[in-house]
Amino acid sequence: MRTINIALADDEALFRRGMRLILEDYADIKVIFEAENGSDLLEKIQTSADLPEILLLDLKMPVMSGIEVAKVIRQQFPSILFIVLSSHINPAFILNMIEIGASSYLGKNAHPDEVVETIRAVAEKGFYYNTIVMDVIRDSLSGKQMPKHSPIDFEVQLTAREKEVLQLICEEYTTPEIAEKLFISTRTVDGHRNNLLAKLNCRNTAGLVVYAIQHGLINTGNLKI
Amino acid sequence: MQSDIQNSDIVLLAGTGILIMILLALAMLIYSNRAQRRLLQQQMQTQALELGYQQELIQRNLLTQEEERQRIAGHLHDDISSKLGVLHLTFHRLTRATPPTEELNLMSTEISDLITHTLQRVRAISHELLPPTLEDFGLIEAIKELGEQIRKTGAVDLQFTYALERETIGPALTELHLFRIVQELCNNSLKYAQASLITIELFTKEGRNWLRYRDDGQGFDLNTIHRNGLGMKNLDNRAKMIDAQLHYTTALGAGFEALVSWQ
Repeated sequence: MRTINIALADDEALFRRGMRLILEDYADIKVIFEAENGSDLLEKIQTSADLPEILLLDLKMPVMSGIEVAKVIRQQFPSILFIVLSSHINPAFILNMIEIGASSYLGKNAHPDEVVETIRAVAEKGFYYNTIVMDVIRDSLSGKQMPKHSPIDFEVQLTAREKEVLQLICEEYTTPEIAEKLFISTRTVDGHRNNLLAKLNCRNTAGLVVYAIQHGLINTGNLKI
Repeated sequence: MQSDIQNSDIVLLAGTGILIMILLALAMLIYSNRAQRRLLQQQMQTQALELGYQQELIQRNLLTQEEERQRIAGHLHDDISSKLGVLHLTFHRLTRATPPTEELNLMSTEISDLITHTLQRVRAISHELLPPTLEDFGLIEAIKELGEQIRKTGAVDLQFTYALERETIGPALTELHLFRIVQELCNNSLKYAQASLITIELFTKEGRNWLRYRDDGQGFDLNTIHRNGLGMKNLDNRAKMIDAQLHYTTALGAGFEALVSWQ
């Protein structure tokens, strides 16, 4: 079993300690450092020997908020995935953070088992949207909220294979699973994924899923939620 | 002959006298008129001063109110929500360290539910004080959210379109007052206008930012009754505080429109 390196960012020291103590019970998860606000986090990312793979990120923090630091990390450390862990659970926050590139969004009252499950899913698939997040994304479709990306002519730009891969990514299949399903190699799947990211102008898998759902590019009936 | 001269003298004298008296009376009239006018002017000046002072007082009150709301919302988050988060984690560790019994499981579910419920309540209260969306994501996102809430009530449809970026709207205080204006206008439309559709537009034109708010309700006569007078007065004050122009167009049976523009 490989180890997932985690960093915690929360201004509440007791919360960080509690979360660390809980995560320490899991052999595959290792907390490599903690930060008390956004700029502290950036500093620790820059000086740490290892980059965290996944970040548990609080939003309301003094000095530099989680929102601000998420934008910087997206730009400067695109390999770091982040899971928002906030006491603000409302559509505007969820949609905006996912648009910035959050791989998942959990409430502070999420059960620790769900936190662990989310960390593992994000490590494996790049994103994990629970029912709350999926509902928000769906509502944003039915409401008058318009996605910020400019719409593209999907039919012209994506190949049939790319559409298939996109559908399977959204259905939360892992790369080996997609490869097996489509009888292609994992390298080819990665190639399709990279093409999709480039064509749809998305930064990561999470962005791809939101884009696909918001633009009705996939059949949402099959999504596991 | 002499009496003739005397007579004419008398007439002249009397005439002069009358003339002098008339002039005197005229002078007095002019003087008193001027004095009165000066007095009136002074009164008007004091009134204007008082009005200005009153307006300043109202504006300062509005600002204090906003600061206070922000302070309480901040405390609610920092001192209560955060601690509830810690409580949630610590409690979870406690349940893991204790061998489970049926009774303990029941109690732990109760406590967990209570923590979740309290978190939701705190969130709702602080949202009422100051929507965190406005603070963190700005006016556009906050109006979207407000629109969503209003649509959810099912009474009124709300359409919001925008053609400007958050950065051009202005500082946080501008966003805050504009949001309060929109909030108050929506309240009026919901409470008094019996509207079925509200449209809100944000755009730029001729170097200025514009917010157009419209409802298709019953409207009102601007000259007679100010519906929700104090609320409307506060709108004017908020507009003044951010150097914005605010105009209303409405008539009985003709809907309502408010146009706000600012630099």
